[in-house]
Amino acid sequence: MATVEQLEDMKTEGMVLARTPRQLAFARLRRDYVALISLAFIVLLVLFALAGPLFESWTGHPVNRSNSTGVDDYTLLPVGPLHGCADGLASVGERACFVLGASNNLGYDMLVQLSFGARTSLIIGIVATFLTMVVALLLGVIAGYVGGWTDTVIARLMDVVAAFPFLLFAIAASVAFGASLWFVILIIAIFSWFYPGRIFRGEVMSLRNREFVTAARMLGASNTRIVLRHLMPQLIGPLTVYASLSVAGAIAAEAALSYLGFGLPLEIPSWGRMISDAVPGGLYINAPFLMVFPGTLLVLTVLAFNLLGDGLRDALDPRGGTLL
Amino acid sequence: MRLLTVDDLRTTFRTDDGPVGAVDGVSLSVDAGQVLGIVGESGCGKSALSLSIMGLLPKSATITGSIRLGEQELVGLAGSELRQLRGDDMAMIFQDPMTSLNPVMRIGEQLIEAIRLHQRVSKAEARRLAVDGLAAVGIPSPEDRMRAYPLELSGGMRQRVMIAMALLNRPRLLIADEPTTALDVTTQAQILELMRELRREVDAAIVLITHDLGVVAELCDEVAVMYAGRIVERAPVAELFAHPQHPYTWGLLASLPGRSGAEERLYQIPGTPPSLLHPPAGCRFAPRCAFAMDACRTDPAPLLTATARAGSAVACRLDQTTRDREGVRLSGTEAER
Ligand SMILES: Nc1ncnc2c1ncn2[C@@H]1O[C@H](COP(=O)(O)OP(=O)(O)OP(=O)(O)O)[C@@H](O)[C@H]1O
Ligand SMILES: [Mg+2]
Repeated sequence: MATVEQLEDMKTEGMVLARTPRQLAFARLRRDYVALISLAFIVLLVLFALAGPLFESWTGHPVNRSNSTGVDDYTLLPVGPLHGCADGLASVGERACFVLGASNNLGYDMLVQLSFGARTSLIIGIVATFLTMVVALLLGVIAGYVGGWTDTVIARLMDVVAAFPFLLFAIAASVAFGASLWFVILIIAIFSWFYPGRIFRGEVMSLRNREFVTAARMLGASNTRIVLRHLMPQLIGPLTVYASLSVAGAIAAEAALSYLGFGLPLEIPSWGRMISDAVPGGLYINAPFLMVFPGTLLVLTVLAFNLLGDGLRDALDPRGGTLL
Repeated sequence: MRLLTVDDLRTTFRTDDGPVGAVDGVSLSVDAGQVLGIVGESGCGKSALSLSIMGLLPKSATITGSIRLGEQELVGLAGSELRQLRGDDMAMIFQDPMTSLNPVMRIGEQLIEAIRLHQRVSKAEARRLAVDGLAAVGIPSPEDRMRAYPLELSGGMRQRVMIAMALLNRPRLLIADEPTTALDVTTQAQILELMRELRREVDAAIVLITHDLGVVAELCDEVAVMYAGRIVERAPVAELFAHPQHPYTWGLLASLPGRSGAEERLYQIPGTPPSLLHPPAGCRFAPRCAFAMDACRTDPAPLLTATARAGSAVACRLDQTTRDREGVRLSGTEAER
């Protein structure tokens, strides 16, 4: 028996039938609270990352700077949240309070490090995803549209990349070439393009034999035009979905590499390294917040991008058809 | 003026089971301002023929013979040259308007693109031409429709848009591949009415593909009957209906509603069409033909001008007297008179 909710659903579906696929997708997304909350979280995260310099001047604790007041004189542990804040937030510099505590045994400010770490995560997530999507689109579309030998070669290449153990290879390469921001971005992109690439390839393969493509050729459109004007717009759906998922993947991968010590150089703040800073000497046992703050932020961020991606997929393809 | 000349065209699809000869030695010609109908059962190669002419075959197909548009040979033409002709000198209307328009582009964008592919005009000018094009095929409030997405239009409206799109650059050759098959009966009638009007207005040679002889009777000047990849009979429309020459044509005519005389049930040609993967050696209709002789089973009869019938040609061994007599008797033309 249909519940009132389902009937309501059917009614709205019927009403929106005359709308375009894009409008339909937005209408569905607007009702998806999980996706909306994820999106809101991401917006807040971006603001938090942008506020880094504000936090620096507000606390007087520049990023990557050790503060003697950030370490407890007796226990030699990083100070906890709200340390030295009893007198209010007015004081500046070394004596200023640590709102979220210190982030390591050098007395870095947790709030500042988290904010700049968010910046790092977002930059890596976005740039690596951009590169991933460019390669995935290029190779996926070419393979799917051209077919034949070209397709065979590209498809095998995708299989090979998919079969590579990412961490093992990344660590070996990091030892060989030395890690830098670009190294981390490139290594992530190199190992993630194959998945969306396969999706785009499949999409284009099924689109290329659709009659409207033949109709476009009938009108004299060239292959380039067909791909750019007629096929690409249809890939925007899967593109946004996999971009969102890919940002999550890239952020997690960077954190993992930096945690293991094969990721970003020390001068670039990273949530992964902040977590690993809590490990030596069992620091996290006495000061669990060292791990809890960056860990929670990392988990929530990865979760938000993943849930947003899922929400986008549901919105664009409610019957779970072609996208996965 | 002769506009389209097809000579001994053979189109073969490479498949996993072997080559499929979808078009097997077809010759035909159409003059400017004329409408040639091509009729035949499903799978006899009508679409393969029209895609061959348009150069729209998939890569798995090979093609031999000659297709001339005016003086220009199309077989073996480079892709870029063919592209300039397509949509400009020749255009095609597809069977299913639901799938032949891009679902995520506005109607207007698609029309404007079609114009600007071949005419050096400004966006605004192209837009005006597109609106005119929509108006010409009887679309109400064309300005508004320009902003619509295909799925906002009914099937009949979409097919009108498709027709408008094909006519935008005033092609010299228009191929319509079953333009009404996917539509409901009332819409079919409207689209046929539109085609009839357009026929008078556009001075193009039109190839109208259909499996509906009724449509042929209304719209065509000449008709070619296709069976299993070959043309078995070609005649002016009146001639075909009055004096059908080929046993397959008799069957087709007899199976038209209202033609089979006293019989209640619709006539059906016994047997099924042959597989194009392994076609019979001789005349491809021989296995289903009540008049087949031994020679028919080994050698196909060539498509020859029927002696006593002006303008028609038939690929059959039967003598003229038998053909005339049996044709009238079997196809039910007598009953109609
Ligand atoms: N791309 C292809 N690959 C292999 N065989 C094909 C292909 N396209 C068509 N054929 C075969 O060629 C033959 C003719 O097909 P075609 O589509 O031209 O028939 P048709 O007369 O247009 O039929 P219908 O009335 O159903 O549209 C069929 O036997 C079909 O199986
Ligand atoms: Mg067909």
